[in-house]
Amino acid sequence: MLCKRIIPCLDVTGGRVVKGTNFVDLIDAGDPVELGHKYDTEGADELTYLDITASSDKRDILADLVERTGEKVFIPFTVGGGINDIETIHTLLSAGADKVSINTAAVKNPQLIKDASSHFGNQCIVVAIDAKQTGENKWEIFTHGGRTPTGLDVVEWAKRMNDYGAGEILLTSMDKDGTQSGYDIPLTKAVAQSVSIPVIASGGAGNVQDIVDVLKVCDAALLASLLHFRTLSVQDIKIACRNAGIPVR
Amino acid sequence: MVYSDTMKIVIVDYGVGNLKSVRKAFGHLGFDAVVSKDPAIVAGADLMVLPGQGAFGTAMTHLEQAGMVDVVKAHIAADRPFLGICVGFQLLFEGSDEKGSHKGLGVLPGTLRHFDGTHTLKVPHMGWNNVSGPVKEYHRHYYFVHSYFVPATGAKFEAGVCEYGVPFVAIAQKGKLLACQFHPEKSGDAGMDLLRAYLSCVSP
Repeated sequence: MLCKRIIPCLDVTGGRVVKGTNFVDLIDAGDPVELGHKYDTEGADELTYLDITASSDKRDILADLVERTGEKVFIPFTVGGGINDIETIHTLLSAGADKVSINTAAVKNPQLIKDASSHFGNQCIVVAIDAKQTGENKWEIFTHGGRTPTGLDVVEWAKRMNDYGAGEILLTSMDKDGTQSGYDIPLTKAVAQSVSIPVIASGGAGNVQDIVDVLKVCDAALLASLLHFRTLSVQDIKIACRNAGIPVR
Repeated sequence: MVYSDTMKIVIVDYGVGNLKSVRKAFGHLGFDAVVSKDPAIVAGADLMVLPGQGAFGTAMTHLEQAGMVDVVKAHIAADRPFLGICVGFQLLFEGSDEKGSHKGLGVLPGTLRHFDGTHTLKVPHMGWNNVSGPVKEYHRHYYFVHSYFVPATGAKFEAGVCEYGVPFVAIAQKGKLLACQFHPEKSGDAGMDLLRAYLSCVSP
């Protein structure tokens, strides 16, 4: 049976992990490669690196991180953060990334998703959506880290990206992100039911039950601080899922 | 790279797929692998590795254009160590029902079919799934990404079977040939164990 996935997400800048972690048994807990390897051995199903570097040599730094990650990490990994052209996607996939995640650039230029998926295959193009609730069962896309409203309806946009060849949707609730009050289940459900591609939920996990709950309506859960600060381990989550009858590896 | 002197591993570069990951996985296990687009070098391999991803037809066309078809066929016919991964697994079969209906290498019996025509699950079949079948050592979770599959029929070469709406061949094994529909280089410990076992089996 196809398993639901647990995906640790690491924010990186200049090739280093941004927020820090509470791993005590690592030589360098700020090294994204070492952390990635750690999560691989702990049973994470995939990894996501979100690059927030704002400099002109960003692409080279990210490509170097991808190269180094590939030496030590033997599960699929995605890179995202400011990716906005075919050339960058090509560079990152050639360096060894399995998928790229595209956010603001997809809103600015939806054609990029069509071009990228036909060039490289649907399976390696993830469209990231930052959603904010604007009414009852209504959510709008925001870009630039949740600051810029776009007027786009999340469910309609997800359907369109599905049609354009996206392989997955990474759905972040801006309302829930950082609150640890649980995922936005209605949002996740609304998107997952309207597309034919996997949906990864992100934002709001505060405990293991939150993760179990969201995995009942979508395909994967993205996690950051809960894992990085050792509130939960990947195995804690897998055990809870198994007990709840959710297929995990 | 302790074994590199004793076994020459060549990864076939025919312009399809993520060769780097495969090479790094071998490196991690202590085996140095060469990536080559030269049919002469590929023909001299002790262990030939055929990776690949994407569409069957495109991959077969690339393999033909790279002048690799006869080289691969001869290697397998001589029962020399051969590892096929993902589309490199699919190419071993007779063909696919993908539009244009392409012919494969025909080393193994069977035709690829698209998941779409058979059920309503999400396509591609992407993620971790468990393998069952006659070989117990293979009963692990592996990472799959594919839209076409070879229906399982209970044939002798079907060493591992997976299920996604329908049962399909996950691992094919025949003599010194091993081929898998999933990506062992992306399947964590299970993938590494599979590669390690195969390498120790075919190493001189």
